[in-house]
Amino acid sequence: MIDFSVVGDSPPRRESVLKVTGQASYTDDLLIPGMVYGMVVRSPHAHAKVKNINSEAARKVPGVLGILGPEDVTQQKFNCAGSPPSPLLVKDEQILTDHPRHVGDRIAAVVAETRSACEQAVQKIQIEYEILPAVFTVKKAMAVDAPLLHPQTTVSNVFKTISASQGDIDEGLAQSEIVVSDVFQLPAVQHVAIEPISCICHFIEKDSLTIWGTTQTPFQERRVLSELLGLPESQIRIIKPFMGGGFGARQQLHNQHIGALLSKAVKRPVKIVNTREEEMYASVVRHEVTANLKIGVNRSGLLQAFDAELFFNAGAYGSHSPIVAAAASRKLQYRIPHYRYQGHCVLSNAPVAGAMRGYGNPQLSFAREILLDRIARELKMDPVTFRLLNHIKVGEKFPAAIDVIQSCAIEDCVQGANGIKLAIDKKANHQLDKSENEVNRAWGVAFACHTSGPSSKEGMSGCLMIANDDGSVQLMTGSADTGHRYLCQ
Amino acid sequence: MEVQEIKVEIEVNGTLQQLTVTPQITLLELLREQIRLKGTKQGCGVGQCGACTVLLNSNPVNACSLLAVQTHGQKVETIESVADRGQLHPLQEAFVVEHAVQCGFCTPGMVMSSIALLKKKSQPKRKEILQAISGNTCRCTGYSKIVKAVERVVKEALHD
Repeated sequence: MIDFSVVGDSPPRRESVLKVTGQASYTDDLLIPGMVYGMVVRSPHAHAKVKNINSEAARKVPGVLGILGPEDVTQQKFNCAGSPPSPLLVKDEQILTDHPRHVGDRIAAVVAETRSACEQAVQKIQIEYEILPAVFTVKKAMAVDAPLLHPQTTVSNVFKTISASQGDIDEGLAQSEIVVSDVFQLPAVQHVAIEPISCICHFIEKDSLTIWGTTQTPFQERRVLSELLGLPESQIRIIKPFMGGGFGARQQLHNQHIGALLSKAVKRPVKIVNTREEEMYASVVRHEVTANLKIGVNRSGLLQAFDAELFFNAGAYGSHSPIVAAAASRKLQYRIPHYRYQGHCVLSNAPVAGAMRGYGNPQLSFAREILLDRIARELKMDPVTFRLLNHIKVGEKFPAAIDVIQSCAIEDCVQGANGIKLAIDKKANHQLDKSENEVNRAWGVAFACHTSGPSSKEGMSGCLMIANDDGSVQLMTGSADTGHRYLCQ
Repeated sequence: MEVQEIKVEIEVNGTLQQLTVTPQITLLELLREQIRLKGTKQGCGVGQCGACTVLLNSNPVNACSLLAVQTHGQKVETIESVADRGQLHPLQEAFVVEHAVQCGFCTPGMVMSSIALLKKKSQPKRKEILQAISGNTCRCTGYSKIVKAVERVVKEALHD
């Protein structure tokens, strides 16, 4: 075995000292000369039309510098996702809207000398709404009489369906000796990073924009902003200070566009920090999913057929949804000859769904692994043996994938997990009080596979390293450190 | 409308500060905006997450949920007071070594809650450590390394 001096070592993170002493600067810790504050006026209704906005009283609040409404900004539609360009990303969102489609949709924005002046002004803006019928669940959004969220761009709230298949699913199910099926309902989940989503936008002169802010995908966000604001990418600079978590929520634009326009209007840097309430209803959630799953297997334990139909509650805008639905189709690390996947993206008046840890993976994996357990029980097979029997191996393809996988250490992984399990059992047996009131403990097993094999995209990662004469190295990369452990040590 | 102003005297990190505040500002706003001590963070702003934990007369409190005027005549300690002239406190050192820090946003509050515990009890049990940081939310670490960091200091103190 090679004796590595770096690989396998666990050096302290370089920036930890700054963080434990309170010296690390996060977006809200930054003070840019001349900086003022911005706040977004958000819809209290899940679906409505704005009939009138009266901001006269709000403008009189001392310290208020400006107020923007839907008519004051570009009506151009965009997709906020920090994903590489794709025809799957529908453009259906506006910076400010007179047709709010979820609670928290952006109607107007205030810029003022202080945060408290912003708060007072927001309260004094009078908006007249015509309340429209709203639908929150996939089922209601797909009903025949459901209101259309985006009648100009879609004929149904099911705005995209992602399909993948291999073999013949009907034949596969017919051939299977045992078929198990169920419907799984998974709720929306909020990221709740401890640091709220924040940005400081500085429009300098007419044609250059600098943004300090919470971001996981600065280059993609720059691309979207460039198109939306009509600025060349070279004139937009995005700086990511220390960031208090991301978990996927910051893989998209939040307030940067309206912050930029407020800054342009008042010619000063504008800071916008979400309140915790805004974080909950006006940022992004993990997709609520209804998963219909059917798995066919032979008595010998070999999987024959896998039929998955998933309904993703996208919320009010397309955002990441079709790409999340597509990602879910590629996380099936078992050898299955007959496979069919359908992922329907459904618009509703629920909070907008987007990227969150696992990106389409957890919902289907949860449903699949529960069904696999039920099958193992029926076959009277050990659940780990059953999974290993069907697990993909080097040189094989994931169902419906094009490329074969070149490495797979699942056996080592299982062996390692078993070792940990035995150690815990040994310790627990030693310590456990066997009285009746003691908590019952049991082991469960689930396999999952993420961002490897067929999910990786060539050309998505890269960096520039410059070695200096003194042996030090400079690293430039588009990967944003969200507080986890990589990049430089 | 005339803005009301109140004079207060607060000992912040060992220095007596004579300050003029408006009645509605919180201790957190006073620390962050007026005294410019940015180490204490605002997470939720409603006393739920503990990112703004500071010590008030050696007790951990949420600075976002106290008015600045309520701290008149009292002693406030923030994360900036923990290291001694650039020398990390053993607890800070333990947070670094045990990888109890990821994004770092909860860290100042987490350190302050733990310091408050260690000031009262140099040999706390695991249950007491968990209790001490129960008001501090962390979304990255899963807490186990934070508990380990506090336990490391407890163990080291025993051997000293």
